[in-house]
Amino acid sequence: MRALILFFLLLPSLVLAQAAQEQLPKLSICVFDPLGANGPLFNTMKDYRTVAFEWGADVEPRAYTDEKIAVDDFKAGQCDAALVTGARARPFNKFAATLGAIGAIPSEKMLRSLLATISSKKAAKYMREGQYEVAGIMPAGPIYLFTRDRSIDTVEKLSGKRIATIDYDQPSIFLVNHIGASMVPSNSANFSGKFNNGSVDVAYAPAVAYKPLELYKGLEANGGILRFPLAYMDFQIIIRADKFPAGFGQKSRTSVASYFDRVNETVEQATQEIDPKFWMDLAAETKLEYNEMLRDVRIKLRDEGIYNGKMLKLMRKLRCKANPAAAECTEKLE
Amino acid sequence: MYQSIRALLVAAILVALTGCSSIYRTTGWFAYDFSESYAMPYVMKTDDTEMGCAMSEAMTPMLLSFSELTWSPDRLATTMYMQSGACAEAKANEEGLTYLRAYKSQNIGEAKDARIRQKRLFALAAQRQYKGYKHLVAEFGEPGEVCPDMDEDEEFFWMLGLVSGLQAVMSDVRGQGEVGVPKDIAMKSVRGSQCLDAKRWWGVPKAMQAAVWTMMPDNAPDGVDPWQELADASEMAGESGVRLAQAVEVVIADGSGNEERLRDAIRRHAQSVKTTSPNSQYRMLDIVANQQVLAVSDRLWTEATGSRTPIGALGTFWDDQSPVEEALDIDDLLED
Repeated sequence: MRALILFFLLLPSLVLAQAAQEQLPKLSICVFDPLGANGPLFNTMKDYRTVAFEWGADVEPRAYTDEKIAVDDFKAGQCDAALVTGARARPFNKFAATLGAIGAIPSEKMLRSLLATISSKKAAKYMREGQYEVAGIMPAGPIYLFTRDRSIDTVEKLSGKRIATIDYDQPSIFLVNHIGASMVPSNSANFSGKFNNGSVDVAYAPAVAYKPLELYKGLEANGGILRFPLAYMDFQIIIRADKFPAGFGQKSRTSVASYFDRVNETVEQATQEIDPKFWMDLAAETKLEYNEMLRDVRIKLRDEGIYNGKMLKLMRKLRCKANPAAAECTEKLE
Repeated sequence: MYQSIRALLVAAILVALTGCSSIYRTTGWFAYDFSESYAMPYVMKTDDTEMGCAMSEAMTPMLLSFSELTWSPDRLATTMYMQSGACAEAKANEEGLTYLRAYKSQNIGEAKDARIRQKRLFALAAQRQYKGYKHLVAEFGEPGEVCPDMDEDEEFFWMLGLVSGLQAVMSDVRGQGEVGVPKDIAMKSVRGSQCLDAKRWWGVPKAMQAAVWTMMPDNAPDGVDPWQELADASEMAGESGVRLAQAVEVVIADGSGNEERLRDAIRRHAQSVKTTSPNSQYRMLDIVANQQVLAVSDRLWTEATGSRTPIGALGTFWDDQSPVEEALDIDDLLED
């Protein structure tokens, strides 16, 4: 009898001890980082692992220097999650991937507001498509146009020029064809070499690529960078939702959204490192011309099923909040 | 007796006329000359990294304080900062192991704290390594464009400074960019290393170049396999007894995420250590390289088993298949 009483008295502590030792299911995330396990994204995922543990998932990061292989392994079920660029994340969630739509975000302030909106609980329904869920979006700064010849600054002048084009990104290919430029298929590992040695006239890249890839070499003689965000680059965490505990995606999105200031600081620092002599400011009417052309491209890409209409509409509304007098706010084409 | 009185008088007159600064200045010249000609070569021959760390960490500010009175001993400073950077890096790696163990035992608070400590130490390493690189620039000019005219001694400092530059970028990335090391010095250092003869410098220039090609394969000349180049550089390193290039191969293979390639590089390093003695003139560099490889092996072991590489087990892995010995039938053996 005493033994029975003792057993019941000890039961709660026995259960607790068992729970404490319980191992969470082992999950993995394929992390694309150009520097592999030595790179900044992989490092971020080491920190992410500790917070993810508190949400009930043990997510081991695996480094990939080739983004295509990372995505293929994720699709094949080799990993339960993936961290890849927004452009590569398109097949998993068109709504979130449209965040990187060409010319849709004019400022960092709007990006911040947009990220807060789509990371909120109310937006959760848009973040899941089938088995895939977007569990976080990390911005990597605006993408700028780098030209070896500063006189190439208008849309017309880009016609016929050779542009290093990310060859798996449909919107990029569409845009290059749209402006009548010549596409030179490239990837993130080789576009800088092509730009610096003159095999292309124009390239596009985020500010964070300027120093490590020495893009100033291609700019040195007579080049320039258009101070106009062509698009915002981002990285997305995609998870196979059924493998993760319920509510994981939302907790993760909220947490990753809080990285914004930290990431933005890095982008700011990289932008400051650009030699001021390279910046080219567009005249107001040229800027308008760019904006209109890019809006046309976005609408066509939406009609072709590449961009998500809801996200384009959301971004148009945010732009109009900041600039209600713009023509697009009455035209409402997006 | 008269001589010592005379020397004392001369010293007293000197002090009276110029103050203590002339004596300090002379001491500075002496300290620089002694350190560069004797202390540093001596340390390079030793095999105790802890002592090397203690020396570089303690003596760097002391030695460089003379630059207030004389010139800046850039070559010496490059070496001292590179070495003290490696010391901070080793401590950072240790925190990385703490993170893994804490995570495994579900002590998440400790795991998070270990990551913060690790990043702080990487930032310290980056700061030191970047200083080492800056002293290189002060001595020889910015690398990456033209090769300076150098004798063998100067080539040695050039190489250490370039390695320091490359390490500074990597450490800063691992420390979450706190120091703000300009990232282009990585490529400049790699180009600068091509001023050196690969064989004379233990395969290091070849390994640095190949490392970049693994990340940007289109930049490699046609028909060149960057991973084979890295392995060739490692072989040169093994033959020379200064295995820095092997450490480069292991770090790059580690980054690639290809564990088989990484294990192979570690195995070849361990084999080389067994078969070729360290170069007696540069024993310290060989040991530092060995410790970098050991640090990667420790991480792999800790991830898999919860504890680091067992003693004498570098080059082996927890899941290696031991050769199966066919068991004989005991009854058959004991039968008359």
